[in-house]
Amino acid sequence: MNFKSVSILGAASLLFAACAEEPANMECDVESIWIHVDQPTSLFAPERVADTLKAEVSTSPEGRYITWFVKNTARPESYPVFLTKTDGATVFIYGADGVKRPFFNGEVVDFSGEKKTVIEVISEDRAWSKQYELSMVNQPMSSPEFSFDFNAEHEFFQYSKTKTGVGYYKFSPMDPRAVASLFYNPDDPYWKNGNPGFAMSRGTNSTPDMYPTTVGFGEGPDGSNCALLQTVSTGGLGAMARIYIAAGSLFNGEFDPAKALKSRSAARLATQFGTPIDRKPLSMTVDLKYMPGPHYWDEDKHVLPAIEDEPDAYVVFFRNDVPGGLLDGTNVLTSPNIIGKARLKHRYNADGSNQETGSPIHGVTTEWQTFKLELEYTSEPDPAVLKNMGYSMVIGFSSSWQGADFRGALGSKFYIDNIVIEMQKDERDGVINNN
Amino acid sequence: MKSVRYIILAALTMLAVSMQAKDNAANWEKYGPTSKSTNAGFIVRAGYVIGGTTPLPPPAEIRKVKEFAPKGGFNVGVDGYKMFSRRWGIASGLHFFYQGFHTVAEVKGYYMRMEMEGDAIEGYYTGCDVTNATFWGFTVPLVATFAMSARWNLSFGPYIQFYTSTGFNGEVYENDEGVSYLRVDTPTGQKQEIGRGTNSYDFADVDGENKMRQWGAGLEVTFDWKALKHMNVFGTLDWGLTNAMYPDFKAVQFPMYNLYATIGLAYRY
Repeated sequence: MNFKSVSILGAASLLFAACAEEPANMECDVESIWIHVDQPTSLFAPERVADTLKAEVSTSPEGRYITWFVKNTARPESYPVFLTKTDGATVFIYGADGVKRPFFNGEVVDFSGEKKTVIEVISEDRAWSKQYELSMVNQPMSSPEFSFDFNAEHEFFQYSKTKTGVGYYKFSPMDPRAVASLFYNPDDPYWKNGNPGFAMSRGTNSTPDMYPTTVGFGEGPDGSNCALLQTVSTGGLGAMARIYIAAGSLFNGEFDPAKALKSRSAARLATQFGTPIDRKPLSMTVDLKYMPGPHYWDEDKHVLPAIEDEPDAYVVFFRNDVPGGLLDGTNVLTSPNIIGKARLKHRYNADGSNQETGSPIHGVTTEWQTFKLELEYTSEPDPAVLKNMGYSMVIGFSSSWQGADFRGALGSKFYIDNIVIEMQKDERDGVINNN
Repeated sequence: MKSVRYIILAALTMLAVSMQAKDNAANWEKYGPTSKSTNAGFIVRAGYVIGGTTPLPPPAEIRKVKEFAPKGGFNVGVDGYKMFSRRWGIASGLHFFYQGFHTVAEVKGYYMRMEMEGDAIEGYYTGCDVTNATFWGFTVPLVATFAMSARWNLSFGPYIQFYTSTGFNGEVYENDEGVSYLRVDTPTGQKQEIGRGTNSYDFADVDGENKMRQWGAGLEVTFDWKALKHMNVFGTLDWGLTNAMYPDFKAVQFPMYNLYATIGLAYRY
């Protein structure tokens, strides 16, 4: 009977053959990076001292820039830099003389005069590398008014390094006042939306005009370009995460596509809304046009026949330096940290929850109309906190107002153009405010 | 693995000893072909199947096999044999089988492609991979048989297999450290987290298309020990030499081979 053990063991030893030696890591990410400053308030407002640390810079494919935004009045000097990286990777730094040498944690980097320093991370297997540019930049001065007309604000972005031609449009604001106020990150001066997530689920099958957020070429009220948000299917890969629709969106903040296809709960956290700003927003004026899709779906693709899809447009102003200060897909319109809000009209139930109906009251039609949404405040911003960027502003749009809960109608189209944001003027503009 | 080597060594020693022991004419007579006139006969076999479908050798990207369990499996069949001399003959037959396995493996930087309804994402995956494979089908071996002794028989030769039903599905999810992600296209590409239940795959149904070959060929080796006059105890290894998947199927970067062993009892007519 012994041959039985022989053949079993023979087969088993083949199947479980001791795994080969562990392959060297191929990744080369900076996972977090921070500076040590003896007196953080010399660079950062008290509300923003946590900005010394930059976490998870690894998830962006490029990760080319690591920028610390410091107070307007700060004069950065040299500071020790510390980082964590992919296991086994080695880090090099390019000195002022352009010579590459090994980087050690605690390396003192000169940030004066907005100097840029390049570090390079090389993977354990030595086949892959990434460069990051470190710099410290004074927070730009925000403007009392800025605008977006989407006429030339788009550029084609190829998300894959290996597949040419696949990608989508990114919207980069052209108004320098808007850039200074809300889109000042040089790494990422773009409107955010779910396109990077959609690229993961349907990218190989989609042209840029099929993405949830795209350009309405020549479709603006004056015949120029506008932004087009549309609710679309996420396809087979989205369905695996039980995410069936992607509503077109447009907002300022961050979108982390790493989470977009993981699960419903993770996808809600992929959106991080808002940018710190030192002025109080008053109103948003915007041209809008909307065509709801024919069949309204709940999150499990059941058609809800008596319900019509609705667009959403809002401005939210919130305190950002308190616990839970950042807003995401779960609380962008409901967080207790919100003190000011303007939004298209919707119906709500008596308990304040959203009422999906067949008779929307938002007033956006299939013809272009200009809307002025004025912010209503539950409390006035604290002027000292405001000055220190302790508040953030979100400008947000969606082609399906329940899109964050994966509800909406495929084919809903929301056209947006000529956004004007009016902020409160202050002493920088020669105006004295009483509040 | 050292202990395995000792067990194999011990088994082989005992084998040799038992072969030497009773190799006499009476035994050749007792355990020889059932029909003395034709030197031929039939063997009806039934056995338990254990094995897997695996890249060979297992790639370094598979870090750890955390779970392995055979599925099913059984193999029943009948062989006809014809002896040309006391020691040499040939055999062929038809074996029906159900075989499969379930495994959980930790992988690191494993290149894979997820495809669903024409949408695809590919890149380097790190995390946990669960695989379930099943095959229903039948095997036709054509083997040379060699009587090593009166009671020990070794058969060796090619076989061809046809599958009436194939399944190869699974999913990827977080490993013990909570890590499960794909780097899209390259190791420096976008990181895409993949959660439990969000990436299940089924190679037998990729957009309605079965990406698994419906046939296979390989080499078969069988040891028979004639325990009683009409009863054998046997062990068979079917070593597939053809890729279980269609080679143009990019989801699997390595050729996968069927490697299944059967242990069972046989009745000699």
